[in-house]
Amino acid sequence: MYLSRLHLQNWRTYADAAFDFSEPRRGRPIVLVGAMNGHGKTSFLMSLYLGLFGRYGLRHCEGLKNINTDDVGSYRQAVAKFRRNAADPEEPTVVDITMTPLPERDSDEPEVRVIRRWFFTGRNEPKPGDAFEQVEVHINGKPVRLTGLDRDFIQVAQERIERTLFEAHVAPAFFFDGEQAQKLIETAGEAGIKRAVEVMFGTKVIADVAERVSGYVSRARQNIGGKKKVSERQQELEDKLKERDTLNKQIAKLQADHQRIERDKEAKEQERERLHEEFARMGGANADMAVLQEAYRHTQQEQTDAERALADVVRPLGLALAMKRLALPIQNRFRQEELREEWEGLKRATLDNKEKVLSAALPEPAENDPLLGNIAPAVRAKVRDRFLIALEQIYNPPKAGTAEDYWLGHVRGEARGKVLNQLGNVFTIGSARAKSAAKRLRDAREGVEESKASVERHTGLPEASRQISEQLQQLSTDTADASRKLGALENEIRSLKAKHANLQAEVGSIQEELARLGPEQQRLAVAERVGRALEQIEQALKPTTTLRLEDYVTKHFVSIADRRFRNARIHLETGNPPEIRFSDGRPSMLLESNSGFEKRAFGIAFTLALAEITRRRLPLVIDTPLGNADSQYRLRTLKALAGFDLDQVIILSHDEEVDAELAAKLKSQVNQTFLAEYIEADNLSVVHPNRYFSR
Amino acid sequence: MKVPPCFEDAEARRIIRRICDENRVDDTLLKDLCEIALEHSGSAKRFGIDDQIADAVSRFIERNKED
Repeated sequence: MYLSRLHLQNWRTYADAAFDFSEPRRGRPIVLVGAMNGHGKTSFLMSLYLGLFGRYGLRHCEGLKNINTDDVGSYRQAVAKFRRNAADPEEPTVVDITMTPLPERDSDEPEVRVIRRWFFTGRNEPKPGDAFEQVEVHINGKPVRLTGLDRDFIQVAQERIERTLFEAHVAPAFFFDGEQAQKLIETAGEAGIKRAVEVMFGTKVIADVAERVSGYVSRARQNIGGKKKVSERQQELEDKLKERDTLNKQIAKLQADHQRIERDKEAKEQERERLHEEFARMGGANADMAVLQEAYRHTQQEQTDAERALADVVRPLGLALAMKRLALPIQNRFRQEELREEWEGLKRATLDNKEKVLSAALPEPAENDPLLGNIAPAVRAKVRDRFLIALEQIYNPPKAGTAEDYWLGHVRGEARGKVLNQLGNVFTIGSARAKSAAKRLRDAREGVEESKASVERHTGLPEASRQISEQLQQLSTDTADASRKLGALENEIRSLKAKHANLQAEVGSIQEELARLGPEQQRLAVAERVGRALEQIEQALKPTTTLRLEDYVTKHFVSIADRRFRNARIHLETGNPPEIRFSDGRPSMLLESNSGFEKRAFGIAFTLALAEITRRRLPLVIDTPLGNADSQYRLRTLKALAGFDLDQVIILSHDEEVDAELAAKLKSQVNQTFLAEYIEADNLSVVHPNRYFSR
Repeated sequence: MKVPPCFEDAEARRIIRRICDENRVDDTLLKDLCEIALEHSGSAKRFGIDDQIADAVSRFIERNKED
């Protein structure tokens, strides 16, 4: 985007003058605007601030910064300062600015024209109230309707201009005065630098967002209630997720350790193979030694395998082994209850048939009883009762070992049989496998001892083979050690993975619960997370922003300043004035102790750095960038400005600064020239396009 | 979309992404919120910021459902 037109009416010395800028050409960004002191350079610069942003530009405009921007009266005074003294009271003061996109670069940006008019009374004093100012905004040639609820049209216009062009606070990085840039060194220390970089780099926006989100969270909480449950569950979820992350890291670390040990073990095994071959090549007695070593290695391997096999057997038997202590009493109890069930069954069967048994012993009626039919009925009844009592006594007492009642009464019949069978397995299958694995380990250990002793017995070998033998022993010990470590690591990884799976299930369940809590609460939960993230980002970006600013300032400063500063780096530490440090061992120096032009070079470098940080392609407008610099400095500064990656660099200069000779040297980078000339007789400045100071 | 320049700086972007991941949000949501804050910042105050924040968060939730 470039400044294509600036039309000024009744603005300082300009009665009615226009600068029509042609479209920038690649490699020729510079536009020279020459004007002697008092002929209209500064008023050109100020017209951009006040024309584009009105009262909102005041706070960023270096020359007007000290005016209290909240005071509408101050703004009127500032504008009145720039009104042409000889203006006709009937005519307003007008600044009319057009910013045009470059077709190849800014195709998605519109052309923006801002026309601001200020009206004055017959005594050339600012008109009161709303009558003072008017603003028009045209986008791509069409006027924008500036109305808004509860807002004045100036505010609506401001919003539209900032949204379409750029924010007012960005302006000082692009429109500035070289002399004031020099003073930046005093004013830009600490707070100034920090503020500038926060705004330009956008970290200030991050802080603003954090504040806005925090406000949203507290208002949303008030609105929806029930916040406690959500935030508690949310916190629980956060904790679980953190725990899960920690577990992931632990597992990853253990797996990495495992891989490392495994690789190390493999390397050692390869080395052992190599030594074995070497050992075997020695022949004779040494070959016997090789055999012994091989046997020793095998026994050690067998010991490692046996240890693993035992661990494998014991791990799944963990529960069964724990049960083993209880298995015998439970088995006994089940058997006692089995007897009781059997006894109760028989007793019940007998009593269920007692009437049949009785009728066989005492047939009824008595006439049918040939044996006891003639006894008295009362006696017969007593006999009958006694018989019944005798029947009930048949199964009393129950068999020895029968349970008196049921403790495990819910497990009966077939189910009891199955449990008894399983309990039997605890003693047989599990213990048999464990016994077998333990025996294998015992045998392997004995094998290792024997083999080791046999190797040790083998003496009198030559030094070389003895050394190899020692190395082989060491390698065997190392690989066995590595195998043990690997086994332990595998167990640990398995256990952590099990924990991880449980945690994952809990996380899922909390997430589902939160999802059920409704969209507003979900939004609240997310906003709380965003708030935390923003606070962390704000802190984390502070060092990066300072570093980035230092990089850019250093780059521009080194390109402008003389060769003494070739190995310099600018340091901007909070609480300290800017400092120059050297990478070639020279002592560092405070920037403020340098010459005026180095201070100016820093100011320009600092401002260019800010412009670069914004990543905007706006016109750069600098009033008197060079001051009283020597010819070398002047050329370097102009070359640095011409080399800055922007399309339009407008330099406002008097005849001693970018003089005719210097302008001629820059010719290949200059796109256009203007000469603003004050005509004393007419009390006004006129603009001559395509002219500049002549030699 | 207007986003602060820190989102275009490689190192700053890495830091932002890492912190976003740790807090299970995404940088699109952050950019949306920055745009809202910029709209409401400084001279151009407007009402309705809470609704805009809620909308941005809802879009984030929707995006994550789709994922």
